[in-house]
Amino acid sequence: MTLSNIIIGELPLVFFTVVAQAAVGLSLVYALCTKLSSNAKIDSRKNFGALFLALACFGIIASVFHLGDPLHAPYMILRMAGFSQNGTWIVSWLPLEILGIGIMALLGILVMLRGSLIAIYALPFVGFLTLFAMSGIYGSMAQIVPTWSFGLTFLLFCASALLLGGFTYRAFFAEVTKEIALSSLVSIGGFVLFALALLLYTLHNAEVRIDAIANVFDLMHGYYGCFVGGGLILTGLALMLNIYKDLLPESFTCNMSKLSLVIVFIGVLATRVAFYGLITTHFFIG
Amino acid sequence: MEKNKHFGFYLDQTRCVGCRTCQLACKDYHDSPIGVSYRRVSEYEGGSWVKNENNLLQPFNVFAYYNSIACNHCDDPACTKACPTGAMHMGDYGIVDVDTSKCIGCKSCAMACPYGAPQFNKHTGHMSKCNGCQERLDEGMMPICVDACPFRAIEAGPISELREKHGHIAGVTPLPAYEITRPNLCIKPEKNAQPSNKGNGTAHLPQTLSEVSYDIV
Repeated sequence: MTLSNIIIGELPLVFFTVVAQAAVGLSLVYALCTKLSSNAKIDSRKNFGALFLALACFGIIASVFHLGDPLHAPYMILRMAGFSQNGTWIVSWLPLEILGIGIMALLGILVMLRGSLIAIYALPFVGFLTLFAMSGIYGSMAQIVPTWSFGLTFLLFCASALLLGGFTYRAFFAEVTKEIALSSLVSIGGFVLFALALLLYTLHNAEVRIDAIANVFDLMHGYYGCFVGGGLILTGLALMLNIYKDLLPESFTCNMSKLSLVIVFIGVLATRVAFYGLITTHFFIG
Repeated sequence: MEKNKHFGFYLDQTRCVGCRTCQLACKDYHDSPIGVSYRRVSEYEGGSWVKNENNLLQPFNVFAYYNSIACNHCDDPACTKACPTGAMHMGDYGIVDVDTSKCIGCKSCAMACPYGAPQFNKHTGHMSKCNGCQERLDEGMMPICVDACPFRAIEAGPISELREKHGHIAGVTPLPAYEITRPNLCIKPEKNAQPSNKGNGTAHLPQTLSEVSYDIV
């Protein structure tokens, strides 16, 4: 596989996972801000619901491009509760992830139409359970694709959610000091966890040894460092922009939080390309 | 072959010369598009060249051998576990096959299979894979790859009989260890072949080195 095949082939999954994680992170920060600052304005809630739904729908639409025949998706109900193979009960993670995304979208509709507070508080719970199922898809293959790990994938996905959620809230909803402080705190915490997850993943993969190739990073044709390092630099840059936004005159900073959101998205997307680029089983397909 | 017996393949690495006739016969028989090869031949090579006292290069443990691999219709298939719809299933002869009427083409099975057996057919939008030429088995014939091999390096049949005749070795570099999916495969290893996870060479895949989009055959 050439590098362009790796990038283009998995691009729908890259967009789906990153955007869905942004939606989950945003729901957490919004729920926290609603709780802390009694942000009960119905219009704000409905706006949040609309943005959340837009992100969830964008993720779902992106994921459809990874499917050859999406019309067969209802068959996923067959494995929703898992299935038995060789006397062992197997958890089927992908249907659970789709179920989670579906519930997230329904709750998003509820918030958008009614501004439901219960739905706002339920969203982060459903969201992080969905991220757990999302991590399970890759973690369950860890024995066969040794470059993936359940725990590290969950850490990476949660960190991405916090990082992107903080930036998204800051760009669209943060108005009062308390909200700005909370979203910045979540962004910084997310960045630290994100960098830690990437570091641990890189150390994990440095230890991975498969017979077919001398070094698993060769699967990315020598560009692993560029994607991960470049992604980290961009996310760091976005964080700096958000921090300096408060120190610069307002005329310089009117759209800086939205610019930093775009930069952080590009950064996370770049690192996600590296995640999907190390699928060792693709080696034999060619 | 009886339908209640488990189907499997035998590969004699000492006979395989990597001519890819099996791969081409399979592609021709199944009319597979570019990029889809149910049977694939890969070369595994290792060793190095060292300078002798006359400053001339001479080989040092240099070796190369071939693996002709299709679906091994594993006893514990990873592809069926990863399939979200149950399209990937085990049927007659223990053959693992795709029910295209249920397949969503999500490629999870391709990610999960350590042998690269399930492959996405972008013309149909579904996954496709080796079905052991089941229709030929029904008529008492061998799979097309077996009949096509000019060196008789591949055999197929009930795995219990193949193992009785040729032994139980299935984990040979660069293939994964037997325990991972319990493939119905037995291999007569080439003299330089090493057990899985203990190889000191690298797989040589032309499509990786020549930077073409897909395997051109």
